[in-house]
Amino acid sequence: MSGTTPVEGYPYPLPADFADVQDAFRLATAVDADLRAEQAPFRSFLARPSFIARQTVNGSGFISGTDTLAVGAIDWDNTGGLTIGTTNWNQPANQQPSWWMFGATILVAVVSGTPVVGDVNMGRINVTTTDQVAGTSSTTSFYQRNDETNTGGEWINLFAMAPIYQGSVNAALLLNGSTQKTTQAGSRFWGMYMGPVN
Amino acid sequence: MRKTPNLRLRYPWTDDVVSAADVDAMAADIDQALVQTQSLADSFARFSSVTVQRAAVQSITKATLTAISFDTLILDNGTDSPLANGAWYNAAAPTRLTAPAACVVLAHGMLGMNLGSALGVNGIIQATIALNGATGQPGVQGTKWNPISTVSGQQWTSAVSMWNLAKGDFLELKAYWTGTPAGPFNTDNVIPPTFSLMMVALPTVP
Repeated sequence: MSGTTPVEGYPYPLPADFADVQDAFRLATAVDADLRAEQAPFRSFLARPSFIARQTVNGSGFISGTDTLAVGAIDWDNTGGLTIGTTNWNQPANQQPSWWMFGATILVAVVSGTPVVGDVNMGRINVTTTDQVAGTSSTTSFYQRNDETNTGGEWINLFAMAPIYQGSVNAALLLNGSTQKTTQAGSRFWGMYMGPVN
Repeated sequence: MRKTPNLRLRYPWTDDVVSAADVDAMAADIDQALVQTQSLADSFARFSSVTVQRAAVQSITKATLTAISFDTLILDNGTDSPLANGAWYNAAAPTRLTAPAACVVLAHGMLGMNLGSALGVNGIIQATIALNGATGQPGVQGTKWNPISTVSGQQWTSAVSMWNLAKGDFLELKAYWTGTPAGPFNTDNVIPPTFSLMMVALPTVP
């Protein structure tokens, strides 16, 4: 017959059955499970889901339109959501609806011609999320506009906070101008988990 | 003795003769597991961060990427954090915020400039966050901004980026401007350049 502790209910052997190894087993595994559970939120916070993707080669030149950053190298990712050769970060499918912060530095390279001051350069972060009830997906876009200055390439820094569930995110350069430019190697996009929606 | 699956607590099994030594070993393992839990809780409560400013004006030469030299420490709780266990800022290397431990950080740089004259149509101000002294990609991130061509005086621009740092890696906030005037121009001392880092994740969790 085992005793149990008054608060947590841990089993322990009484003098009458001190040699019963089952009691020791029950006590050790109960303490093990409880402590692991208590450590879980701390471990989760210290290993905050986050990622940093980097483009490693220049994109193809274009005059007007959109070019999405490509994942050429993964500087950091503990989500498993980045794949080299793709353009999206995919949220872990088992993550609850969550607030994330996303950001990017889009370096704009000149491909040909002399850039014209005032031509439109914009950065965009697209956040696609799934409705928990209807199952439909929707995309929200976040922009930063830094028009052409003809000073050896533009740098567009933008960021966004958004709720997301079973979603994906990418960053892109939008141009509307008169000379060819593109996304430059070294451009990055990143994200970090902020907390649950509810 | 066998061990539990998670925290590896030893406990006696049927091929053992249950003895005081076995109980002692199990108690010692539980004790260590509680110490580990307390350590995690301490780390959870003290994620490390730092904020520095450049209070005095700093002269920035035209078309020269210049690291801001910080003269005012607003906050540095690196030494208070069990995770960092060391300061980020060292006045002997005032341009740098150096990672006291391997970590992922969110970085924010705000660059204030005081333009003695307007930059003209090709004028820009660039706020660059640079890794380990980099002057070009892939170790630089930031923003390039084109102020109104006819406006002089105070101008500000901000950049946010995220970095995976090894222990000893350092980040700097660098300023760059170009335009019609010859300059140099000073950083703003009313709303001065500010640089902040916050640990947001660890590459490995103890």
